[in-house]
Amino acid sequence: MSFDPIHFQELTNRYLIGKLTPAEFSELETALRHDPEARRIYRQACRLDTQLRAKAQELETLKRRAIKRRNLILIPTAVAALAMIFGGVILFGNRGGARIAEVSNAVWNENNFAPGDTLKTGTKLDIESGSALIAFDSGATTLLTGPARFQIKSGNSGFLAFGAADSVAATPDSHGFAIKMPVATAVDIGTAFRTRVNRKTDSHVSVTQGEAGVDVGGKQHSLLEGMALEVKAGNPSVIVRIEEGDLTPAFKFPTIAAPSATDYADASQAMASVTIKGRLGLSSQNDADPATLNDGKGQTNGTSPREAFYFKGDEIGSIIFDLGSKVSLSKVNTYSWHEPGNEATLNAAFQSYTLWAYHGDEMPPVSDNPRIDGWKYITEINSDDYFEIADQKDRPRQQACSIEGANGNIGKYRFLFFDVKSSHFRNHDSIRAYDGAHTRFGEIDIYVDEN
Amino acid sequence: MWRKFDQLEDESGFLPWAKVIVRFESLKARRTAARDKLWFSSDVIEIVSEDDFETDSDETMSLERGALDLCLENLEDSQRDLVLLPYRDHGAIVKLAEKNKKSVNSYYKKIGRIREKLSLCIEGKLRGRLTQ
Repeated sequence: MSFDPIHFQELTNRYLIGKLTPAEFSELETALRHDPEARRIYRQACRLDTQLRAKAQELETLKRRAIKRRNLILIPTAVAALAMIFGGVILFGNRGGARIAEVSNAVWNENNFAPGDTLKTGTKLDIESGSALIAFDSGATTLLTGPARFQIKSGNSGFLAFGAADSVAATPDSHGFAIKMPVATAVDIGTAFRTRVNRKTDSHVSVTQGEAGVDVGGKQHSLLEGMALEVKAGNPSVIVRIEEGDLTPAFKFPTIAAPSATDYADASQAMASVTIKGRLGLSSQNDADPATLNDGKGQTNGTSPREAFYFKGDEIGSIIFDLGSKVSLSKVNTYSWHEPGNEATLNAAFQSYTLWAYHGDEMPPVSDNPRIDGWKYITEINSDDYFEIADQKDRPRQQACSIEGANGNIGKYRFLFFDVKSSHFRNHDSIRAYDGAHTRFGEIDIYVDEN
Repeated sequence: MWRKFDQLEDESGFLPWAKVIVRFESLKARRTAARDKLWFSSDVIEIVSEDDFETDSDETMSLERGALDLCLENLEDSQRDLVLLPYRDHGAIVKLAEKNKKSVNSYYKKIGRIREKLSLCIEGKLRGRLTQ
């Protein structure tokens, strides 16, 4: 059957507004799969959809401004004059902003805010504890939970300097609602999302509903419901994703690839070697061989110590990869899996390490002061913080952590040093330490840019 | 970074997102259609969103946005209001249909026809610009 562009366009338009029969949908999908012209029309319709939404938003904004202007003209002259005496705040001072909708047990560090208070553009909120719900002019809302510092940037955006903020942008006017953070900006595309900034200014975005875009230095990343990423401050800045797996030997994750046998550091490639070192001078060797770290696969189950690598007891350890020569590092993935026997046993799928790198051919010493020894700090990983784990039994039992450069490669290096921390839960003494309590790494994959 | 942030806030700030829009729209439509179990398989979403991004450049988006403004001007007021209505108020079409005692489908058909008209108009204007 020949392709009818007019008919296909009609199908596409109806699909985008959710009005297709199953038979028509099948026709649409077949055409998209096989016909470049169909894909061109479809993409054009998507762009039209987006632009119509933007246009509608623009018209609504103009309409609202016109209503505001009309109302202002109706203000009695005496009131208007009084307002002008006080700096024109009422008439001209607020070009969009927000207001406090609710507060709950809020303790403020500087100015106190109460429900109904107007928050002009530029207003700073510093909340020590409790929470405050901010309602933006656009209809978007942000729940600020102390301790947090936040600034109103416009009637449809804010800046989170520190702490956590949960935002919902469900109105047409709030499309494009943005939360800027020190090293990233989260932008709504019909969504509810959570943003967090820690004391190092690492910026975290997780999408609880719909989808969001994250701008990192001009590069855009899309996040769908349930996805998250963290932009780590640093030079270079890196993007970290930590995800929960499907608890099968396939190691399936929402966006992170499964353990690979074709990455640069895989034993089969014969390019890299892996060694370990106990930082406290204790034995760091478990029953398994550290070669399990680059054998191209994870464990076949979560209780298989021989297929994982982990440090003994309270040992702190180092995993060191020698990549053979200086290479352009594009991505590092680490995988762990552990099914604890009972609740009193540590869930050792937790990942906590600092990643260091070195570019030269002579590896620096591995000590307690890597920076002084010449190692370059790349990033610090703590999956409990990432997932906001409150109880160690809630730790995901199969985890993958992926580290990528925020704007291109991580850098050119020969040696990578994973400074592995204890997997004890926030120094919780009641959790018994025992041999094999440390993170059970199934695989570490290192990707390089061949260009 | 601030420059980028500011860009996002103004009208043209929508443009840097051009390359992710198709994917977002497809996934959004997929969710909407999920009620009827009509969603694209992942491979189709990838083909559609990755294929031939030359034509989905920011410049194309900018030109199309300009053409859309002109084409909307050419519509009758009632047509313009109708095609923008779903983006102004969720559920507005259903309310409109109830108010005028007409079927929701009849309005969706009308909107579809106006969108087709807009698509053709935009395409015509861009073609005209290219041949100038």
